[in-house]
Amino acid sequence: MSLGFNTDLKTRRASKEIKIYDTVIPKGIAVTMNVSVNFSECHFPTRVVLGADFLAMYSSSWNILLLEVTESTILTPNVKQIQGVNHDPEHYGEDALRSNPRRFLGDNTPIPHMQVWGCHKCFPQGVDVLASPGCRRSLERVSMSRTESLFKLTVILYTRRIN
Amino acid sequence: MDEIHGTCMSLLEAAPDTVSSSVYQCIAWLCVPENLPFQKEVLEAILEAYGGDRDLAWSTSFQQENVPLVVSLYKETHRFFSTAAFNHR
Repeated sequence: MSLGFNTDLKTRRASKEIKIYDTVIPKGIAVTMNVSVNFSECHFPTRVVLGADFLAMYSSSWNILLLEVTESTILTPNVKQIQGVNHDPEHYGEDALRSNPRRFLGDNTPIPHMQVWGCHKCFPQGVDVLASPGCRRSLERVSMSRTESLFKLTVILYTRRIN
Repeated sequence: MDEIHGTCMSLLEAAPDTVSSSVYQCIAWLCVPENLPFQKEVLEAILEAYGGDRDLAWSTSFQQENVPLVVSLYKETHRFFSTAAFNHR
């Protein structure tokens, strides 16, 4: 079963079973950080933990082209287990519960983590719309660099004010 | 009373499930006294990427992604301050 991982990247799978809210991330499941997914090759296992809204954010916020969601793609809405993965010490080490802004220095993987709902309100229709050509074109126009730009502007603006 | 309560809750909960919440948390993190040195460091990294030209950095930031320290900062912000924690839907 291909999950479309880009093996050049540092892949991170759930290193243990993670229970959070009402869902469980099985050990080794594809809710991994730093993973490049080609959805056209993806046939998620039945216990998939991705949701339609999440996929929307995934594509739009991180400039990943959502190519196709197949019939075997089983999506569960309202997944909220992301925090459990983000704060997993087995992924990030003992300082997983501390903010370390240098953590991703030199880490060029496109997705450092999972975060839900980022684009939920933009794509309430869900996967069917996301998989449409028009939506793909829209998603392609969204650049990951916008996020960095936002933070750059935030830092500049803030330091302007305090200086 | 229900309407007032609902309005207040809407104000408090507006868009807690977006990147904006992460930005707020990032700003708060940068404001903490012990993190001010990092704030200075990241600003210097930004200016260095733009040859020290603050106005150039300001005007062209939206076109480029060229400051690794900022990239690391925002990735870590998204990781650590997951917006999912604020969401109850």
